[in-house]
Amino acid sequence: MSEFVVEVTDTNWESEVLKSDRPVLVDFWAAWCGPCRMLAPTVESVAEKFQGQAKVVKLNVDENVESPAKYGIRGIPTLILFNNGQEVDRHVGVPANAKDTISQMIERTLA
Amino acid sequence: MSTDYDVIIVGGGPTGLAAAVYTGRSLLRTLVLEKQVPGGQIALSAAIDNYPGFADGITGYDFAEAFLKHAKRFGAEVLVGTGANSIIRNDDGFFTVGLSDGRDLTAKSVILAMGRHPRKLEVPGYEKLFGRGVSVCATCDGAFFRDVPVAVVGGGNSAVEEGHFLTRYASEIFSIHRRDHFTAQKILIEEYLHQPKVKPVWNSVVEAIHGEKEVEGIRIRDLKSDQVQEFPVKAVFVLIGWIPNSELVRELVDLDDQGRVLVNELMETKVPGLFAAGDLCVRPIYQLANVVADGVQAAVSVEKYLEGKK
Repeated sequence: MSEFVVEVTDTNWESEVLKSDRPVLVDFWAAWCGPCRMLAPTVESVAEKFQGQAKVVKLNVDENVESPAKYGIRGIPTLILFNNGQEVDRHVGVPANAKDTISQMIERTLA
Repeated sequence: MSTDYDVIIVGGGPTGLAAAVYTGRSLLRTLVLEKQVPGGQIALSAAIDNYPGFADGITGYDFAEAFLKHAKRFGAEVLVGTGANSIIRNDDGFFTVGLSDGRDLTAKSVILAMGRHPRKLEVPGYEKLFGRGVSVCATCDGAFFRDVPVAVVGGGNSAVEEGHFLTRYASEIFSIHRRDHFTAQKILIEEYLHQPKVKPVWNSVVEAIHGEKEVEGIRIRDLKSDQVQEFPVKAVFVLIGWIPNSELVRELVDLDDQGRVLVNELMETKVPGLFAAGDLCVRPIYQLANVVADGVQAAVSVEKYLEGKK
């Protein structure tokens, strides 16, 4: 179970993601997506690394339709970084050097 | 002089993890670097039906998980999400591997198992709409295209298997291939063409992918008649072959004209202590079972190489 990655839904999307006072990385995933599940431990380790500085959350695209549609998600895993309610960075698919690449996405926004 | 590891395996797909099972079990200090996800390309597979011993098939995810667990059981360390940025052979015959997290690690030997990645379609719209309808993974993205027409490009095993998987979701599958027949295994072709949703489009190539925020259609050219046709598909799954991930070792080992690493039957490259195996290399076939066997061979060769150095 993930300790550092919080599950968000369409219902709390606004309060957890858009109104967050810290940058939020959203991992769009589904149970049937093997690569998403394989990527989860890496996302978890990034979440632990940035505890207190940035929030890392995941949203299940099977159980939540509204947010994926709004952001044009047509493939998973997709990672979107939000800051002050705005999308600032996006990566579709599993990034190369995943841990370092995702960390850099967050670091660029924190800088 | 001591090193951090006896062997560093670059790539945590079936080849690299198979090698790690063997080197770990031989009590070699083993590190596997996996820059994306354990299992590599096979983790994307919906179902593996031809790996001997798994009579009911197994999902790519379950297979990759089991393989990872097996490698770890015998002591291999697996670093996930971190890849190699450089590999240098030092004057003392040992290797220094530069990691994507900035660290340098040393090892007495290295196994290259970086595999390959899907070839891109060089047409307008591909890059812009990647992840917005353009995909190389039906298992990952197919479910976003329920009850709409989609296109599959390619005619090999991957194209036919992924196309078949898409029949679960799409309303129609235009299967576009530049030849007049598929080159996949016969059983796969037969099952595929039997699906009423599958509409083969022979002797044709994609010329453009349309759309701004998402795929809205594609333009196809018939190579025989030179006629151009528009298809209003919502997604394009591109499975037109593979590019070996050999960029990292271009200067170090011999490559063939397609960029594949040349190895002998012991998985040796021309550099002592540097081995290569699996999809990255020139192989007679590219099947899961034989790239796993490659990993095993590379591991045994590493073991013999290190014994010889004592």
